[in-house]
Amino acid sequence: MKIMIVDDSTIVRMVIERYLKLTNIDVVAQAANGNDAIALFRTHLPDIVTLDITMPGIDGLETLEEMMRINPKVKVIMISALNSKTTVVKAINAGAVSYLIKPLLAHKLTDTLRKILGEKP
Amino acid sequence: MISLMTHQLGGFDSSYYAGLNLVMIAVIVLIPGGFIQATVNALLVIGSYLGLNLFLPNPSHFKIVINNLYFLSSTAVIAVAINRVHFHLIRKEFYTKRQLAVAKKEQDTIMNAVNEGLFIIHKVDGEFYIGEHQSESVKRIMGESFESGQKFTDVISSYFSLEKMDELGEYLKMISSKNVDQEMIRDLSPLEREGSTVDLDGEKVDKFLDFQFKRIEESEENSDFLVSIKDVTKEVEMENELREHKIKSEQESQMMLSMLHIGPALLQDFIQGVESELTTIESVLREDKYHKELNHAIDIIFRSVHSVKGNAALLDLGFLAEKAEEFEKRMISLRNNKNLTWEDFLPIAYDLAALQKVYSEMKELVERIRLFQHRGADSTSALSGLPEALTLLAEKIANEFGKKVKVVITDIDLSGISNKYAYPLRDILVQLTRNAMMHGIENPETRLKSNKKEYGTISLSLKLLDDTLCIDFQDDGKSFDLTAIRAKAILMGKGLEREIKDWTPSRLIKLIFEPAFSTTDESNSHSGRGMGMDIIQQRVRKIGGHFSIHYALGKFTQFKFVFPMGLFQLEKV
Amino acid sequence: MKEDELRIFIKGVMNYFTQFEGAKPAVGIPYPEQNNFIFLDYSGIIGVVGERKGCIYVTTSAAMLDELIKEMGLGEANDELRLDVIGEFANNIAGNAESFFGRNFRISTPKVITGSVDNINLPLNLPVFTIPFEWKSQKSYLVVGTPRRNV
Repeated sequence: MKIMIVDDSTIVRMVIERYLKLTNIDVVAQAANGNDAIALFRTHLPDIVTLDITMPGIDGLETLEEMMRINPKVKVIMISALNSKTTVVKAINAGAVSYLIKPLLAHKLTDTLRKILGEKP
Repeated sequence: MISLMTHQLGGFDSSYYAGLNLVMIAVIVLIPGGFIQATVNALLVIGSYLGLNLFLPNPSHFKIVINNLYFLSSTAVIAVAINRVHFHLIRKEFYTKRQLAVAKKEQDTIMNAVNEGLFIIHKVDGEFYIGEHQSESVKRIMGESFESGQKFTDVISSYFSLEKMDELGEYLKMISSKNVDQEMIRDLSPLEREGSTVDLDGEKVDKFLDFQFKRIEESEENSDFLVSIKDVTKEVEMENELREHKIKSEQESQMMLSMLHIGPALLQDFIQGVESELTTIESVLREDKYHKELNHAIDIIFRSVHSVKGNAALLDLGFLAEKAEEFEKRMISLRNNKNLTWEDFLPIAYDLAALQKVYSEMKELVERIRLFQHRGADSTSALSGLPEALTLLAEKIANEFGKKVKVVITDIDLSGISNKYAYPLRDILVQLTRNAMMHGIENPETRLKSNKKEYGTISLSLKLLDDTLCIDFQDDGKSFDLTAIRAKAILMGKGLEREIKDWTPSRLIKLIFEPAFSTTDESNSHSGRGMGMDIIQQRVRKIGGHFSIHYALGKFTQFKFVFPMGLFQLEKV
Repeated sequence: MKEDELRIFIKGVMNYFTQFEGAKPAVGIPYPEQNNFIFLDYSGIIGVVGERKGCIYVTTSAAMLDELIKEMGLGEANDELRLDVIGEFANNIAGNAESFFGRNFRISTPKVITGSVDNINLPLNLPVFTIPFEWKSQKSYLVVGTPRRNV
């Protein structure tokens, strides 16, 4: 299972990476903005992506749409701060499978991963 | 009877016996009756057939009779069987109908009793429509029942903004998708604690509403949802109250802290002073007699506000000084207005209300503070805390502007002067102190250059001689800046330039006592904007005294006040 | 910004009288009122909800209403008629304000009373302002207590 972490905060990326060590999912790439994320996405084609909603440059929603165009089967988890409910809804309508709210708790991440991977194909 | 008929119709080998069969079937099957009844019916028919044949024998047909009997019996059995099944079905149907009725009644009871507004929405062709039933609470909360069959978004749109409706649209699209679970549906609802206005019997009521959507599992295409409307107005309002309360108590604590350093007598005296000024302003607005000369009214209001501001600043009560400063700014711009109308007074009403609010909050706090402060303090005279306050003021201004000052106060014994006269006196002295510090006393460098001591001196004495109160206020500052006054006079068009050039110092100095005259451009909480003199003059006049000024340019300024005691009410404490 | 409110109400009062020939009302100077709200013989009260919350009322003497009734040509003045007129007056002013403030200023149907009312029951939210006005030598008051909500 390959995962890519996209967030403009280094600390958040480190935290997610640490949480993922508890799973058998490989972190194949990390990006701090939308453009890098898309480029890396093309190269590595991860199965899962954690995607921050508010980033400089092209925002999370646009990045998500682009990724869905490249690989519609990717499972994207949106990461949002508290007040972005409307954007989360839009993201899910655009193809994201789930979302998490900062601050990120380890068990919430693993629960979400379990949920999206446990889905019948 | 039918058997007879058959018999009569000539024979048991005739096809009329088929008729008998049919009739029997009909009778047994169609007439509802229990199993026993049916059997009895059948036996009756067969019996009567047999009987007739026996009693009216037709010997040659014995075999046929047996045959017929056989067929009749089998028919009877079948018919009875059918009857039994049928009957049971009918009974079951009735039973089920009754059960349904009971269930519906229970359901209705639940729907009427539940607090939330409940109803179902069905997705048809991409749009959600309101279902058949809803709980009573829908009407109770929203003021109307939702018509079933209507589009959900149409019904809701009259309660929320266009923006919210957009969000709702996106949300409805989302919940229909398969990979969204109930938790997400619940967490992402756009209508959480949303403010809205509903119409209850003609009354418009503000409410906070919570809309929750729950997917109904049985529906295969995620097309049916249970909507629950909750009225959370009370909760939201309580929370807001708590929050406001919290903010308010924080503000109060700050107010309290800033007031604690002031002595109780002074604080009390200050409160009364402010109250009297506020009452003055209010009466100017209220009473007709002031409405004749609006400019005069403005003057009075201005002076009162200025006084409040000054005293608030003196006691370092920033929150009050700020509000007063705002008020004062407005009054100044109004002063310059020649044509005043009631419209111009509108903002005054608001400013006054704001001041009154701060004042009443302050008063409340002061009351609380008084309970804790030492009661032994001399609270008999309004002027008792004045020496300290004046010293404080002078030192404060000195600090702010990098000056140094010493305040010397002698001969203060004012116990016995009623508060009504004490306030104007206090105002005068405060104003003098402020002016001395702002305009009189120079900074240490300048003083040293003029061979003066580094620190300036303000001396004040109040003496009661026989019937007269004599107040002597002196500062060793630079006194009047005649050049500046002259320039300002020219600027304000007080006369022709060449005339003003010739004016005597005393004429120039008199100008300072006119309202709206100022020789400095500073305007902060301390500076009087040159208004100080006007106030002094007015206050002195008010209590029936008079004063004189002695000065030496660059050296000192001395104010001598004389107040005949006949006008004072001596109150022996 | 805050003075808008008062101004609109005052204009509403003045507007109401334009339907009559002759004397225009003279609006006095508004002042803030903290308690002891004034009530004359008849009062028309209107509740307000929305962004601004509270109530407004206009209070007047029987004599003033009688003058109005005469001007409107409604015949003989009686208690019921006076109540109707004050209610209509209040409604007029509030309606005028509603059309200015828009959706966020919702008014209720007017309540009319005679005499004074227990202040506690009146949802007048501070700051409250009293606006005196005079028409045909009759003094009346418009009392406005509908500040912006802090929510």
